[in-house]
Amino acid sequence: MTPVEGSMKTGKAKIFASSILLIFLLILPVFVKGNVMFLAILGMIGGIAALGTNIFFGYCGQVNFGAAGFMAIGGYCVALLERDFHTPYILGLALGIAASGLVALLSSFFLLRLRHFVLGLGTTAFGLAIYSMFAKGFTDYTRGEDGVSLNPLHLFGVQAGDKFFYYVVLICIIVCIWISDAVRNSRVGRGMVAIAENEVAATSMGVDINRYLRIALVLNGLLDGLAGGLLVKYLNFCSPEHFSLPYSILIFIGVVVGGAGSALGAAVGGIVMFTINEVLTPLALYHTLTYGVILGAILLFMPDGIVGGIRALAHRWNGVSRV
Amino acid sequence: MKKTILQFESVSKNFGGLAALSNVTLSVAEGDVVSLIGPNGAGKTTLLNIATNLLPLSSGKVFFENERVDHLPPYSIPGRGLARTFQILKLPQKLSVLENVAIGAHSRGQCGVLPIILRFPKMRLEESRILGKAKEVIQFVGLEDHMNTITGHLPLGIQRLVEMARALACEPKLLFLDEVTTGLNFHEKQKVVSVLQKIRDQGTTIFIVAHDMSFVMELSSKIYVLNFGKKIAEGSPEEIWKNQEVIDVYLGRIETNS
Repeated sequence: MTPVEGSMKTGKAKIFASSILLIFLLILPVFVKGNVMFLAILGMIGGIAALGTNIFFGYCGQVNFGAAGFMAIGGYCVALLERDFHTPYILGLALGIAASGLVALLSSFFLLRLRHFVLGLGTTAFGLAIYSMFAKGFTDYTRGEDGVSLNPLHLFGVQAGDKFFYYVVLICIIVCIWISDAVRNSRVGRGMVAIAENEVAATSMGVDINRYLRIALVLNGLLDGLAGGLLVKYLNFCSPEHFSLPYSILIFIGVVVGGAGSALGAAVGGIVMFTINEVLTPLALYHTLTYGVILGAILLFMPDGIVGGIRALAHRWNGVSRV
Repeated sequence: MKKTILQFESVSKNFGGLAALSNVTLSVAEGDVVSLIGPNGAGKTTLLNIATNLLPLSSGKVFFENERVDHLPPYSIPGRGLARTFQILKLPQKLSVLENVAIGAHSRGQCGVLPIILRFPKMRLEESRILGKAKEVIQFVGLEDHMNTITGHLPLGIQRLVEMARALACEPKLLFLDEVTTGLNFHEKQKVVSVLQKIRDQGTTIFIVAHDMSFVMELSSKIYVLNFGKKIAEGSPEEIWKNQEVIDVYLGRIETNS
């Protein structure tokens, strides 16, 4: 088998696997409701957040421990606009996404001076600063730790249920995967991957490093802003608790666990991490411990992430079946 | 007299107190194969880094096609027709050969991120042009069998060719090669030389930085010799071979006529 045939075969397998996944997700609401539905929606919102971070970390190789900060901007924008100006949700969401992108753009002017561990610290500080701004500062306006309540989403006078929200979030995550793949398989995406590998080599190939990292951070902000805006409306509640440092780290781990650099991987990783996080909540004291064990197991047995591990399994299976 | 394509005018570079290059003047004629040789630490790679603006120079001027290029941002250099390879390979190991070479064609496109996300026809056209160019260059260096292979799975000799293909993908007028044969076996070296001859025959100017004398002598029409940041000789391969100063500092041949 020549490599060209091989890539066509894996291409077909990928389309096949994605179609099955898509059909499964489309019919899921028919069979489940209640808690499972809640987990699915929350998971997919996590997937969207992970997709954002995947562009900055997975493609460009730049650490981001402050993604929940972007979610906070999107979420609070929706919540405060609705409370104070009765802005329709769709408009509030659009403004929230835009605001998050703008904050990402502004933060890029100092964050992109940093690299590696220092960038990790810088983004952590960014996430904490945004969190504190909503939780501890301006508390008269943001109501601090008490959070802001939102009205349930109404559609033509009828309250929108879980099913409606499920499909909205599903469409959003598909669009985000599509955007990620479009960027990755383009001149800009290849430039980003070149930056991750070696900045000197990327420069000498004509890649304007600062410009591309800025684009990646803004895309990160836009996608995570969307995730934040969806989250608060689904919970009908916007509280700083959902945008704290552990969530930033959860998003980052989601990208790593799913398979950094692959859009589908990041989406799966985000879904898995957010779902596990929610399922384990009743364990209280053992929550973090169990969480750590699961994480360790995934990374030990699938160093390239869940999607990378499945791909490797598929290759092995293919290899065996051919002999 | 051939047209000069690249010109260094009394270029100096200091790293702190160390003069890596002092007052180096050299020129490269269009269509030539020019080599720069010298012992370790002579400043060869530093000169290359200055030519591609990865390092700012301390004093002097660099002209490419009669335009001063030493103050331009480094990412604008390949767009002008200067491409390079690296002494230590810098290829993303997880990408396929095709994708790696397509990175090299980066400066041949200009679509921003919005046309890419919205999939404008302009962007699709540009994308197929870039991938077409990458495939063409891969065939040119004879790697069509490895088009979709993961780069990290290939041996060093072939990865060198991938890096050369990547540099060629930006359709350079002048190609810089940094230690292109280091660590290669005889067979791989022959393959690199034959590709270099093909590149020369299509009219691309080549500037080689090398240790390997035999390889340089075979290909070059002009050789410059650096030692401790100073140019100590220039001329045709025969002239360099006979030059007493070069023999003393670099070739180290034992004089038999006493």
